[in-house]
Amino acid sequence: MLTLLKLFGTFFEIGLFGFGGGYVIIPLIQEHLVKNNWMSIEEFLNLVAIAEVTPGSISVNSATYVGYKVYGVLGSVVATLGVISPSLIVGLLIAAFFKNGTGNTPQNILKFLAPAVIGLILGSGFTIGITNITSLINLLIFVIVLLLLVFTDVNPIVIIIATALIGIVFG
Amino acid sequence: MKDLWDLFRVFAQIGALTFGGGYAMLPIIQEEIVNKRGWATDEEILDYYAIGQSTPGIIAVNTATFIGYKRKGIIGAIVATLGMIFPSIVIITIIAVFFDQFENYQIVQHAFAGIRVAVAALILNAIVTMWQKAVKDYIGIIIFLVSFFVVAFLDVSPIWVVIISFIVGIIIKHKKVDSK
Repeated sequence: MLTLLKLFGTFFEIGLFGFGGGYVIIPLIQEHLVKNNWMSIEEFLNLVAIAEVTPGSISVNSATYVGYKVYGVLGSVVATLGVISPSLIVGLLIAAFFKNGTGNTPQNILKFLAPAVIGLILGSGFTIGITNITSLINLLIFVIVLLLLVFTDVNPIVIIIATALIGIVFG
Repeated sequence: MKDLWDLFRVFAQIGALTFGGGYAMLPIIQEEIVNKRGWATDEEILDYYAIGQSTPGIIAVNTATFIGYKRKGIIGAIVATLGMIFPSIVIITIIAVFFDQFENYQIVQHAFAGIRVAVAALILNAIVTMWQKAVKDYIGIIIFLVSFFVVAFLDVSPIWVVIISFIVGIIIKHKKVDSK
């Protein structure tokens, strides 16, 4: 029961501070997984890859996966409800009180938040890079994948399948 | 009751068909919500996205909440949101069950060792994509660098970075209003 409460609380917090969704929640989740000993960085990255190749938003998928790992099916439901609750509450408040948009305040707040969030994601990427790019071949694959992503329209799912095959062949 | 079921069904369908969430979802939401059903206009959807980006939480969930609320009040908001996350819970739980049994196989471990390198690149690519929209002046660059530094090297919790830059955003905004 305590674990379930902790799961809900943790993912509520992650949902509350994950502005904009998507990759923003990676640094937030990473911190809690390590702190609570729920998962290793490697397992967490497997999770990000799985969240990327399955339908649905990364935040929801991650919450479901971590919840299952920690407390089975019940854990996955509780963690997912935790991560969406802040969105639901804030969304309801906005829908109820600001019927016609919210003026320019959010955009202004975003001016400072957005660069900070990118810094956070880079912080995560940095830790992840250090722990996983351990050989010259890995570095080469990393650079090639990054160039493909930045300069072409290649689908991330294709990238993930391709690197899985490379991992199997050269592993 | 039929309306609520429709909300659940349509958002479950959107949740099941979109990979990656966020902006990847926009075309499908426009098709299903605006073109097919007329539950909202294009402008409203874009407003929802703008609000979703600058408020806590998940854009997909925010959009479901807004449209559900617009159609059927608070119950509608909850039903649409549950619909949106339903496919994720089912699919990911199934994957997690199987993954638990396969992850110790050598071949699976090698595959994921390869994938993890790609994930590092995906994360960096997300930064490149967001950079243009988010970092518009030297203040932005400074905030970015400080944020990266304190999280990567000083072990500061990301939450503090979010809270502080949020508060700074509000204060600066008010200053501007005062000086007018």
